[in-house]
Amino acid sequence: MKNLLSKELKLCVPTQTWIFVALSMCICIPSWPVMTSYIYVIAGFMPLFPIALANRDLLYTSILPVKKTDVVKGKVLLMCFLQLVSILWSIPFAVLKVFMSASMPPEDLYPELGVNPALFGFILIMFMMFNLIYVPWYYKKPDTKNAAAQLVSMFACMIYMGIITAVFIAVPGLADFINNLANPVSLGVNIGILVAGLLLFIGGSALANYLGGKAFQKVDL
Amino acid sequence: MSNTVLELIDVTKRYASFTLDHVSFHADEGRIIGFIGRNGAGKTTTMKAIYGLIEIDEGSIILDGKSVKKDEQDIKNDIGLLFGGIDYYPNQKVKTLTSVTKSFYSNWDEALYRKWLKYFELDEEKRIKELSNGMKVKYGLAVALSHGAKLLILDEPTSGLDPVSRDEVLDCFMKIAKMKGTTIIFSTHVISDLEKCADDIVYIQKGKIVKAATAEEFKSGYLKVEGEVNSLTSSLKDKIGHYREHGNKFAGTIPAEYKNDFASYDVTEASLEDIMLFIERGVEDEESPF
Repeated sequence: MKNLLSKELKLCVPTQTWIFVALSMCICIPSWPVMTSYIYVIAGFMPLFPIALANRDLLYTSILPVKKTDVVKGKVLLMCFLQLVSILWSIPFAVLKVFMSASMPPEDLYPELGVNPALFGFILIMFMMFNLIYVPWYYKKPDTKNAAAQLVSMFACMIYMGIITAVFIAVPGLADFINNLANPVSLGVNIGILVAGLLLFIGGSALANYLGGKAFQKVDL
Repeated sequence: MSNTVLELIDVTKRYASFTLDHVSFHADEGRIIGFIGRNGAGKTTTMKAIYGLIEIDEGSIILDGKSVKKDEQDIKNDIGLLFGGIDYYPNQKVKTLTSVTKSFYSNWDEALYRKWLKYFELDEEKRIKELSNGMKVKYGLAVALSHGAKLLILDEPTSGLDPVSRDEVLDCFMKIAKMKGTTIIFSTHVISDLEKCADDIVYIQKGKIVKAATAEEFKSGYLKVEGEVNSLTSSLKDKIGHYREHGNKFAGTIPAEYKNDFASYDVTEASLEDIMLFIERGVEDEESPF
């Protein structure tokens, strides 16, 4: 597993992908919908797969002494790694946003899901959705399926993000409740969403790996 | 008696327009096996099947007693596979690609790798795209030999190489097979390469194995015949494959059992190329526009 991830990081990640991962720092922008910052890491996957194809990565990895399904596992590990890096990288900027927002007049701020554990739970669910839609689809036919799989899985994530954002704006008091971490009930809900997000992210990505591997097994290289 | 390293039993793979049809042959330790057939005959498909890159529909492939299907990871440790030369990640340096590759092999021998680099005069600082075709093949060989591959599967390793580089690579194959006991299966369209170094020949045509035998046995089945056109009767002409005329002279290939029929002509040993042309082109089709 370590070898696979190390191989992906050394050979497969173009600079633009790292730039997109770093864009999760946009979370610090006040009144900018918080979840938007994490769509960028998904957009950063756009060049990842076509570049790997151009470098004959599928054949190279398949020739290494690994199972054919490990070709998929390597990419899923990389995707999860980059997604988690984008979250970790954004944390200091999220704290900055809290300070910046505190100094702004309340009328300039709209009710939104703030920087709290629930946010990261929702983000992890979004990443899981992307992985689960994209990976099995792409590995059915890696030569041709990239564009369609990317667009549909990204679109699904944007709809999900839009719904979450809209719900917190539309339901009166919901944003205040979820952002009030001093309230033990709110804190419990926050932690519950984070744990659920983490479990779904791990389980969904593992399922994406399994389904992608199963599809790729049938692909003749 | 040599140990059998690789055995293919009734390997079948069906595509819409092509079938690899019950392919069976074996490869013994330390032998060089020339795998020949025309384009699209199924050579690359067979090689990919041996390595598990394609899923076969029927049959089994056994390497050193292990099944390719069940022991995929183990088996890959024992095989070196090269399609032409190494051309993955052309913008990466040789040393970067090696550092990634070697981390996957449990039996990687770094000191041996260094020796092969020196022997092949490979510069690790060069990017893959900066290597010549010959160097790409040599780099692939250096990697394969440094993880102790018992079997090398090489698809057209000498294509695009100049005669000197080709000779060097073939020389290297012979040394590896003889001194290290490595079995080598290689396909090529440069049939003269096989004359130089193949111990065994496996001939595939339209997805089926026509013959798998030692090179001597394979060649003993055919003869080259030459003579004057005027002296040739039509019944004898019909027995000649890949028949061609030049002035008053003719040449062609015949199955060895017709040797006595051609006693009055120049009958010599057929080359592998003559045999290939005989098998593929056969006797001239009467409905040919020519």
